[in-house]
Order: sequence, then structure tokens, then C-alpha cells
Amino acid sequence: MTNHSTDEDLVLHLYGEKTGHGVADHLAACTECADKVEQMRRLLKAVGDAPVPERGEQYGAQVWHRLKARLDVEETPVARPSFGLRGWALAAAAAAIAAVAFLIGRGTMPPVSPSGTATATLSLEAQERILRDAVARHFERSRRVLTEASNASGEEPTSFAPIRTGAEGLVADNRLFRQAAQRSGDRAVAQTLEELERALIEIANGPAQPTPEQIEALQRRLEAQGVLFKIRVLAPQMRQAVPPTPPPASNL
Amino acid sequence: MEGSSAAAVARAKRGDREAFRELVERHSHHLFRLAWRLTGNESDAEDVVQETFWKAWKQLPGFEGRSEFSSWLHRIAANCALDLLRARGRRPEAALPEEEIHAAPEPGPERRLESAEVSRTIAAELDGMTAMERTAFVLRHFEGRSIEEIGQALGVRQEAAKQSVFRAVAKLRRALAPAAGMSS
Repeated sequence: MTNHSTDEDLVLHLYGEKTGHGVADHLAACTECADKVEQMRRLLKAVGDAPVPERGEQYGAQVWHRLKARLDVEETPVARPSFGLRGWALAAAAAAIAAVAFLIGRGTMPPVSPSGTATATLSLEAQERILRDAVARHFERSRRVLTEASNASGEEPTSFAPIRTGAEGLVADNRLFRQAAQRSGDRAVAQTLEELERALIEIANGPAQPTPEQIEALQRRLEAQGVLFKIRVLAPQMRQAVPPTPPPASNL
Repeated sequence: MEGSSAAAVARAKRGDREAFRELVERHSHHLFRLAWRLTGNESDAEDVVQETFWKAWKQLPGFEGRSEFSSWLHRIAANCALDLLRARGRRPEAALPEEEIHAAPEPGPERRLESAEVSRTIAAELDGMTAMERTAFVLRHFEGRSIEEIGQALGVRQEAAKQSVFRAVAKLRRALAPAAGMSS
């Protein structure tokens, strides 16, 4: 009976990885496995031949131009935490409860209790969950506003008014969330909220009917800041970090 | 190439923006190709390129030169793409049951490895992979990174990186083999 090489060993062999199972010797003696490897090689070559969109000769300069604008905004080259969340400290989440209660009270988040005082009876885990969920929702609303601003047409300046109004409505919430994140020590989220706040304020304080040039300049700054990318990445992470709410205890 | 990169890296580490500009212009095209293969669309690839260079500038003081600068950049790009793909709600990372790894449509007699068709099939299969499978496969297949390097780059054990590559290859084989009139 012939012991053929496993597919895994054959893939490793194709990629030049060590298998430790004498695959090369086996292939020299086994036409069945040798044929299989040849098929794999042809198929994977087809994958390698798949075309990639081309970028022009000036692409590197264009990338640098956008990057430089962003560097100009934030000059200091210091190490910054990655998007990975370390988890907000529970004690710090408790410190943020005032912000949460405030936001619940003004209807920013779905009410979790009929009264503000009931919020204080929530466990620290529940407070953290609520806060994270609220921040995720805030990121999603902000993303919509920034996306609309990024796609706004300079030919229709009147269409910018609702975007400006939307940004105005998010600034105050953003400030509270930023303060909560800073208190909790989550620098990645706090920094993103800080950058988001700057972008929202710029839109909110800008003209209701900007000129095409003003819209274009704003869009360049938004692109340079990269805040849309950050909140697109962070929003789902915030939700993933929120453990599901257990169902209410049944009395049955 | 890496020699001149090393000089530019050394200057950029000291905060020399002009040196960093050299590095950006030198590595942008390759980085875009990697980002496109990792994300599957141009807009996301552009975002990943920007974010990669941004992070590289920020993290440059900590770059010790143990690996080539290009490898270091690719590692950052892979993680940026991984974050983005996961944020997009790709399929969960758990291994899929064999029957869920779908095969391509039944091949007709005229069916051959036509480039446009193959490209579509490959794109669809890559899109159907988990973020980890796609990233590990692209690093192995297109970038020639070893399983060990992939594990280090993505912060997973070698076995996990290896299995991600295997699953990706298995999916591609199943999808492409009928088009080529081969057995899978």
C-alpha cells in the first residue's frame, strides 16, 4: 500500500516550506502525487497571474502628498497605540457614568431604565457595555456625516447645509465620549475621538453654503486626517468588545 | 534597493521627512499591489496604503532594522488590512465544514482557464475567505513570506498561519479545478 503525501505537505512543498516528511523523495517515486502537485502548481500560477489595477508613475508622489498633509496636522512622530482595544477599565467606566447618564437622558442612546437614577444601579460591566455601544453608535453616525461631506459636490453647495447640521449635532456627544475615553485610559479611542471632534467642529463651524473650493479643501483635509478610516475600523471593534446582554431572568 | 532604503530609513528615524518621502515614493506601488490583493478593492487598498505609511512614520523610532524595511512595511499593511477586513464583517475565522467550501459551477465543454473568468473566480474566492485566510494566503503566495514570518506578522501561532494558508489554497483549488478540467 502506498502512503501518499497529504495535501498539506504538498502545499508546503510547493511553497518551499520544510515538511519533514520526505515529500521530495516521495514525489520522485509517486506519479500520482507528482501529478497532483503539478495541478496545484498550475492552479496557483493562475492565481498569481490575476491582474492588479495599475497606478500611474506619480502614485508615490500622490501618496506622499496626502500623507504630508496629514503629518502637517499632527506633527510629532511619537508612537501611538494601535487600533486594538485593551478594554476600558471598569473603574474608569464608572467614572464615565455621568456622561452615560447624560447621554441617556438626552436620548442619544436607547434608554436602559425608566429613570436616570436607575442607571446608577447598573453593574460596572453593564455600564461599560452601554458606553461602548453608545460610542459605536456615535462612530456610525459620524461616519455617515463624514462620508457625505467627503462625497459632497461643489456644484451643489446648498446640499451641504444638512451635513453641517448633522456635524453640529454630534460635536457635544463627541466631547463627552472623548472625555469618558480619556478618563478610562483608552488612548486609541480617545485619540480617534479627538481627531473626529476636530473634523466635526470644522464642518459645523464652516459656512452653510461653502464654495466648491471650500468643499474641496475640506475634503482634502478629511482625507489627509484619515479619521474616516479609523472610525470605520473602530466602530465594529467597539461592538465586538460589548458582551451580549443576557436575557432577563425568567420566573417560569 | 534595500541599501539605499537603509540610508533613508536611518535619516527618517531621525525625523527627516524628506527621507521618509523617498521611502514612500519608493514603496507605494508595491504596497498598493499588496493592499489590493489583501482587500480586493481599490478604495480600501488606498486607505490601507495611507494608514500603513502613517503608522510606519509613527513607529519608525522603534524600528530596529532586524528585518528589511519593506518587510516591516508589509507587516504593518497586512495588519491594517486585517483590521479593515474584520471590521467589514468577513466570515468568522473558524474552519468551515468541507461541504461549505463551495465548488465552482459545473464546467461546460468549452470551459477553459480564460483569464477574465479565472480572475472573477479568484476574486470571488478571495472575497469568500476569512480575513485571516486571505491575509495569510496573500502573504504566502504573493509576497513569498514563510509560514513562520506570517505567524509573526499577524501575531498568531505558526500552526494557525499554516492552517489559514491551507484552507485558502483548498478553496481556490475547489473553485479553479473545474474551470481547468482538473480534479480537485
